[in-house]
Amino acid sequence: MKAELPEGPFTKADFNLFPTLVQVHCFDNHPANADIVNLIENYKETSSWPKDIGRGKTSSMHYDPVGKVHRTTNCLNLPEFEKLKRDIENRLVDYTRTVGIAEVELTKSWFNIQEDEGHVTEHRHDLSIVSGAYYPYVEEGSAPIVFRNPNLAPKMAEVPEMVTEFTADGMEFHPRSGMLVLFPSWLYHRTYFNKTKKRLTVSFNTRHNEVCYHDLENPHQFK
Amino acid sequence: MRPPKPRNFDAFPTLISQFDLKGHDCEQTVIDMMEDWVETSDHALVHGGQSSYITGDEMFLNDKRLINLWKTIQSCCDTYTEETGIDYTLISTSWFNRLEKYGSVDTHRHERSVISGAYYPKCDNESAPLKFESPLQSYAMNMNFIKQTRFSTYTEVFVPADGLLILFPSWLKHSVPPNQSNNRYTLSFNTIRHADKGYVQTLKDYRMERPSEG
Repeated sequence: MKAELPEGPFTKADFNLFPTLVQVHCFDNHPANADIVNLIENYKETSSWPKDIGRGKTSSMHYDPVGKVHRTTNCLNLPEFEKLKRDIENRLVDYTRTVGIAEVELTKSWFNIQEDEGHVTEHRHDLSIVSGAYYPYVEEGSAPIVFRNPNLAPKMAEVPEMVTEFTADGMEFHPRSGMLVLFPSWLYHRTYFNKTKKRLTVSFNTRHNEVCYHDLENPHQFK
Repeated sequence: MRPPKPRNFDAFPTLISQFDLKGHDCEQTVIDMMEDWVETSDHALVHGGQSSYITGDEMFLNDKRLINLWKTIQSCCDTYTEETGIDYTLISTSWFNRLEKYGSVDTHRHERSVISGAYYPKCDNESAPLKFESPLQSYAMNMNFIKQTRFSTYTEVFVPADGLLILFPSWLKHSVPPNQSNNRYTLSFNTIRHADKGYVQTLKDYRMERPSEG
């Protein structure tokens, strides 16, 4: 891409290059929320996160005693989540278009229940394209999701004097009931220790739904 | 009913600042010096041009004829550090490159420097741009890009103009593609943390010290 200088005389122009898109949507009073919260709170097939991953209950990796394997319930495929799933799919279209990547479809989805001291250690979602966190219900003051600055590695020669968008180690997004956060799956993130009694999250991954090599232009060759 | 618009957060950007120094009182002097400079060489990264970068310790900008330019650029560096929130810096090494037609500079970064800069006292309309590479490229192995946006681009180019100063973090990889003009003069420089000034005895802060004779 070409950085355009301001029209006419100027003394200084700033360009914020190579940002990472984190997109926040609000589904205030989503009609499915009550059913979703009810389902999550009464769901039987949950397990506790291993200590090295965090603390809380999850529908990811629950143990199936019949098949004797760990399974993940794709919670967005449950009937109670149908309307929410459609809404998330529509927002994913917005995200992919804004970023400039091919459309994606939902793959794995799961929910997490965090109570007091619940947390998730830093991780990323390998193999996925865009990931998301939807909060059907969180008590006020629940722990934020925190994204780690992907540019920290080469900054060994500089010392931050003040926290700005350029120096911040991370960026916190404090959840509200009905909030959806979309982000690239490669972006490392975690949650701080939760200090409320209830913080419910529906998380999901995606993949590209088709790859059309025949008409694919290489966007990085554009002038 | 259309859903409410999302809130987009452009997280973790990298700041590039441009300053227009055209008409600076040192402009012609710096051009004359670049044209008369004897000690130039072929630099490993520079193809089809001359560079005063020989040992890596050059301090071209510290020549007493360029002190006002040093002060101006140092002031721009201070503005940059204040805006980004990093510690103050001090201009350290500096050198110039003169690219001929089809001359280019390989991709590189400026290690052991904090912020770096390129000042163009003389160039043409066809002069090659300065091309920065996205530090996010390595993360995008799964992405199928179909449109170039500010989030998906791997490169961003800045076209030089007479008197233009570009400041960028030294860790950001950059290059110059083959030049299409006959004149593309660049004064490049590095900086160190101002707090580390005491470790490098040859460094001067000309806002507080007079240039030495010679």
